[in-house]
Amino acid sequence: MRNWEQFIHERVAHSNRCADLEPEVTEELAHHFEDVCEAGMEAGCSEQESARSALMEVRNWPRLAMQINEARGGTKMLKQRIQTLWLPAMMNMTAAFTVLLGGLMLLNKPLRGPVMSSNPAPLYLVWLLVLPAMGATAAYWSRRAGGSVAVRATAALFPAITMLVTFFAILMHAVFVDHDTSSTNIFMQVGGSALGAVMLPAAALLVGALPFLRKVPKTADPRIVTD
Amino acid sequence: MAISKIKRGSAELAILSVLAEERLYGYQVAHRIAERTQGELRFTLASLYPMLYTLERRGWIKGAWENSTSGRKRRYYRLTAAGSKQLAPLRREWEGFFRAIARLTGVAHA
Repeated sequence: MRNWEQFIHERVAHSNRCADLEPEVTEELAHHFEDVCEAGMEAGCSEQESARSALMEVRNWPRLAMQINEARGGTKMLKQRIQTLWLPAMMNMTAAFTVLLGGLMLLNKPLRGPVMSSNPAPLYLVWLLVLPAMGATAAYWSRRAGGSVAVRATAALFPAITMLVTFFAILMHAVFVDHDTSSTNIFMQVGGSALGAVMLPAAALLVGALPFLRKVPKTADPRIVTD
Repeated sequence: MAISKIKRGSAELAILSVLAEERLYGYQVAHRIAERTQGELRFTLASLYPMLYTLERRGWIKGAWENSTSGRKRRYYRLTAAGSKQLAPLRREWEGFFRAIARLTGVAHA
């Protein structure tokens, strides 16, 4: 007899587009498969034919998992979203800005080490070199919690996304509140800063996150086998 | 297309109706509905369980693990008091709908 619980877990967990089902739900669905198989065999079908007809009951596992998780209650969805997105994203942003601001504070201190100078370029480079580790950590954390590829990428890129939003807000303020449209200066300034504070950090974060953004290959074989 | 929408819309009524008679587990619910409707309404696992969990979250049905007659553990669903309250107006609504369709199309009401 096939291990249906294992089968369901694999189909859902390896779909990579949704979080796993609760164990209680997996057990209940497994029992349903068992019952469908039994009914098929009682009707004269072979075990393989019965299992095949049972599998016809679900065509889209990620969709089913999503529907069930939604039906089971919003709190679970919220908890899942916090674990897969917000916790890694906030940790990532806090770490990235702590390193950056900490470095800037060190630069402004009167007693600086021999390596540090008032020139922020080395600090910026160090920051860029540290960012891949932060992106990797966030993506890994999100993946462990069951985050989809898109959610993992968002968690990894969150510091850059925050900076992008900030720059967009500054630009909008400059144009619509300060009416600073006299020249293209504002666009040049914001554009230049965005490159340094958004684009390059985003690239660095993404480099670190890449190994954790790949889809896990499906191991579940759709063929019917009797265990 | 319209038929499938009507089937989807009547799914809640179908589930509540069979559970109004007795407690059943998921497979039995699907089997009972198919049996009663002579196969016109068929629930697959994918269509049944999201619906069952939705009805349970609304408090219209309640599921609990129990041993079946064969001694195996199954999650039985039963209609709650809130579900019973919902059933009567749902039935009226659907009866009215089918009567209207019958008048409109000339198809005899079953």
